[in-house]
Amino acid sequence: MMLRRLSLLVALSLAATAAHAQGRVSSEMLRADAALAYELDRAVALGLPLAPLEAKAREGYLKGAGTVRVREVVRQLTDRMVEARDALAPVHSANEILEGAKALQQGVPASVLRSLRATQRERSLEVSLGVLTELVVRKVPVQRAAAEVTKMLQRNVSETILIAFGRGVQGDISAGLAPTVALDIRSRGVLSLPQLPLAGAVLSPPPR
Amino acid sequence: MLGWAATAGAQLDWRGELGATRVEPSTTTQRDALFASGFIQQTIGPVTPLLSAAATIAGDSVAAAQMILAATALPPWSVRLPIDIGALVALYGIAAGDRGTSRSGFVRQHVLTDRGGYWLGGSVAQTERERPYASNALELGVWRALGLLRLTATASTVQSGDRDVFRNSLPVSDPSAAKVRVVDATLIGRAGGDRVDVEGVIGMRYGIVGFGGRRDFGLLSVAVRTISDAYIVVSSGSQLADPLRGTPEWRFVSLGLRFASDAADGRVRRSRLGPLVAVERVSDAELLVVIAAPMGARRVEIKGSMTDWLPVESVRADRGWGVRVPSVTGAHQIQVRVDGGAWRVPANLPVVVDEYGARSGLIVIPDRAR
Repeated sequence: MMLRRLSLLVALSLAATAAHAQGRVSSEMLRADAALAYELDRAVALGLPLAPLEAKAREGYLKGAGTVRVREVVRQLTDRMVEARDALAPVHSANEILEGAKALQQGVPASVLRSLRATQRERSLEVSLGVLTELVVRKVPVQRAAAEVTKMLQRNVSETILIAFGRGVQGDISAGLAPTVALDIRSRGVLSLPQLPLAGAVLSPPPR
Repeated sequence: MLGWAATAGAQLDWRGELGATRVEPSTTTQRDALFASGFIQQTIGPVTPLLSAAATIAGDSVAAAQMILAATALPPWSVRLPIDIGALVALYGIAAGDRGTSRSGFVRQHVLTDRGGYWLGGSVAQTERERPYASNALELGVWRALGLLRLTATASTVQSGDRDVFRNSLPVSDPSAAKVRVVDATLIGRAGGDRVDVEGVIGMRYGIVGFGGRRDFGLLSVAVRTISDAYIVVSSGSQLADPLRGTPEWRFVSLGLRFASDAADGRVRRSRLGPLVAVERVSDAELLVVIAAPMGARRVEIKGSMTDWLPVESVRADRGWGVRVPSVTGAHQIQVRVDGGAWRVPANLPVVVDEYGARSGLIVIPDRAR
């Protein structure tokens, strides 16, 4: 048994090395590491989608991380996905949970996720969470960024406009404006628009 | 030969090198010298002006110096047809010995392809020594990238009224010829990595008018990156007589220290500015990642969460480079690699450090329905 496990670990190590070159680490190979298999099984037992966790493990091997680090990252992602799922309930998709977990990783508190869900219960928050994460990565204070995204969710602006808003802020920051100032300028610009009768009709989803 | 060209985007590039060399010109005795050289270029929209200077100092005299003022311009009709135009002034024997000056102008038309390029160039020069001499040259070149290896082949012909410049390097066939002509064939190989750059040159010169016979030449240069942008460079070989600059044939060995704003490259330099990335929706299931890479890039790859972190090679399109990936809504991480170099964060995206310590650009993909 020990010999079999050892050979599987060697295979995993070799697969990880090969992954550097070009290949892909299969689910079976990931499970050759018993500790990692335990983490994946734990996620399944918690009702989480397996694909993003396996993808995160593969990413680690492709980036040359050791097995211990890969296990740790998968465990942390599992915990964040559980926290995101709880905060975003009722969730609309597995991807929404993953986007919530990414936001948590960048320092967005779970309370902000709950607040966004309370603002918009009918629509998936995948893109809103992505834009929020983008703003936070750009050093816009979390509460300011969350407040602006919340305002836009309240106005039911389209995702295209949300993304354009995030990119506009990034452009302003790149141009030298302080993150908060850039956010103010952009939010005034977007929110002072009329109700976008034409663009809104095309870009926004029909009311449900 | 000038080894430079423009890169897209507003950026400053520079390089400086200094060191010691032992030279053995065909016209005089062996001597030890110090040398310093460098260039600076700034891309301003479609034009990249360049200023280059070099000097070799032996004993208490400046043995030779040259300065180049040039520019590469992108014509409005195509980014694949850059044009080099410039002027060169060379001085030698400034403080002692066989004094002279040279002034030349050159123009070169490039045609860039997906994996390489061609160029056709010409120069005219006026050399002043004990009397003036006129020279001209025509050059055809082709280069191709094979992974990290770049191969360049050139064929050129040089005609000059200065027959002394070839003396001691080719046998005289017609002592009464008013003008002399030679033909050169050169093959240059360059392999550039993150830490070591190796360049080798081999070639042959044939006497056509006034001179006959064949002269082989070659050189090898190895640059090892030490810290940051500093390189230790060891070079040795032979350099043919150049009537355009009035310089004789010489052999040399040199040791230098090079500082560069980026890995000093060949005809088309790598850009320090990261590539730019945008994403467009092609269909419900597919996105097109559009990459604006430095002009002259030969291979552009992306990897990230959209590709399961496997490298995917992009193809050249009208507006840059493109690669289709499956559409997945949300925030995605992406890195870009140009010409097999290091994976870089797209310059227009916010930087995120992932759990494994890698830096990537963050881009948000909208849902197809919204």
